[in-house]
Amino acid sequence: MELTVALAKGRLAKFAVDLFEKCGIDVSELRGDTRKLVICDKKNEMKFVLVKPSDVPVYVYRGVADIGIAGKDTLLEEGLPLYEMLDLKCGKCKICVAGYPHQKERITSNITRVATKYPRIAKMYYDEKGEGIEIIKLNGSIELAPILDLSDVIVDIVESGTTIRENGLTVLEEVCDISARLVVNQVSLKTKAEKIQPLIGKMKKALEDM
Amino acid sequence: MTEKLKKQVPAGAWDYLPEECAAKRKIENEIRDNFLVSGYQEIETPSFEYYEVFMHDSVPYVQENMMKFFDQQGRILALRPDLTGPIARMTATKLLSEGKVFRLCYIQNAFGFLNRGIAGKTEFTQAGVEMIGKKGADADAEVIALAIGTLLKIGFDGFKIELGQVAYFKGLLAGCGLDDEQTERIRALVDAKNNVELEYELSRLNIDTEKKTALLELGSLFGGPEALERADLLAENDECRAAVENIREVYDILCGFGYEKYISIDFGILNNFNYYSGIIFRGISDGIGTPILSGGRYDELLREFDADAPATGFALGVKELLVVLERQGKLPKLSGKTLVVRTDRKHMAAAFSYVQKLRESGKRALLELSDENNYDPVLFETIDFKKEA
Repeated sequence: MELTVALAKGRLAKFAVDLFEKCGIDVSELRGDTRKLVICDKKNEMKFVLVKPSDVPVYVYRGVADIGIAGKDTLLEEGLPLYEMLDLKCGKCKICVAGYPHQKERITSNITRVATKYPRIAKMYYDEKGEGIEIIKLNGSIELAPILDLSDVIVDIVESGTTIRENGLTVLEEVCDISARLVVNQVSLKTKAEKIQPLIGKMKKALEDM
Repeated sequence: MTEKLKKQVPAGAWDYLPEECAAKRKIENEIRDNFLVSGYQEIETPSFEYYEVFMHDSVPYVQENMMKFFDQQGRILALRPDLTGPIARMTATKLLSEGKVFRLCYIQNAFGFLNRGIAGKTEFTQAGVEMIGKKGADADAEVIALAIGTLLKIGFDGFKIELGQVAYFKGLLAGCGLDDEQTERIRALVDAKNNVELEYELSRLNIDTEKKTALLELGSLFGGPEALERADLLAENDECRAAVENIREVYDILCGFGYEKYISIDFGILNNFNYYSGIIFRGISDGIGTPILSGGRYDELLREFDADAPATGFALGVKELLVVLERQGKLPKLSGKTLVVRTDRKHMAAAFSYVQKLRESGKRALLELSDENNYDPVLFETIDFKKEA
């Protein structure tokens, strides 16, 4: 029985490689500068696929990958039913609302304009507050939006807050905490239990030692 | 724009081309036969209902998932998001009488905007049963056994039915004084087996440590009968114990039927929690990452229609079944060739009655009066009738 793991390309992949190595899985091929998208550890019957971070939940939800490592932000944004079984405590940051502390009053605009690359998270957050908003979906340099008056606030990931501060913005509200998570397909957890359960146990232990 | 749209189907709508449609119909017929010979009567309800049928306290339907339109008086109509609501309405208002048990089945389409996944379609076929008027583990076991028997009949083997019990979770939370919002947050975290955030959520609540431990254990209370033992140990009150006892009874009956290898237990399954009142179950299979069937007991639902009757049932996703069967190389295929009886106008009377005879004997046959010969020899076998006569 082969286990397929979806890994987010980039920073999170490095951490995942360290973690899997500590669990005794051969992921040396992932360390090099490989262009391969599929890497196998035949001995442990594991297959690793490297995908865009925001695609990890989709691969796991649809069952083409049994487990995956993804940031909580992408999990929230995709909103798919998955088992979220471990907090890997890596890539810790927050999703925040940021903007200017004193917003100009505008007669012609009484709905907050929110620029974000997380439209679903922004919508959920303001829905919970019972506040209607206008979402402006951007794909990068979100901080620019309030500066150019494209939006009133932004909803974005804040790590140290430096980018926010350097652009003259302030964190106004904290939405939620973010870190990397281990997600498992709801069917695979049961149909491949004898492989997944021990692996989760090993990962848990490895995390404690890290 | 209209030029471009007229060649497409709306998002999530689906054409069943001949091969898939033939397989679908074959599977549906096998399912229907199995329901009927098990003593369930087939019914049909309208494709659309008044919105109110789906929008009250004890339903899992989400407003934005439903396809809605208006009747001539401006009242809201909705395409049914599943069959359970309509069947509860129909049974409560037209069938139900004291002490009687109704075993009903259906193969019908349901609709919803939000369906995702491999077989996620906005219009999808469900094959299911509802047993209304009977309580207890034997009724629960009967419908689960029917689900297993039906899957076996259509050629499934690598599947499991996972049993859960919402009453256990409800029992654990009884007397904790949590409001609906807090309960919902805890439910969602247990259902996602997200113990990291569950622990944090629980740490902010004023409930006793034993309960917290039990709630944190819920997500890992799955597997074979040993999960029942652990659930029993963690049981807080009579409600929890009764819930465990119910699953144990159902489990024992199904083992008695020889279905042990198809059953597993998971107390952490808590989807559609407002709808269900007791045992819940879902079917999972190799070859697909989403459930192929789901069901459970919903004793409160008929009250919404001013009737009081316990009920249980399940629905199979027909498209999901087709996807798994194809992946396992078991999708039913059309057998044999279609016969083409070739003749001319002079012999057509005799040829026509010959073709009719073939059809009566169950063969697929068609009559060709012209010289046209674009029949694929893989699919068709030509008979020259002039020679035969």
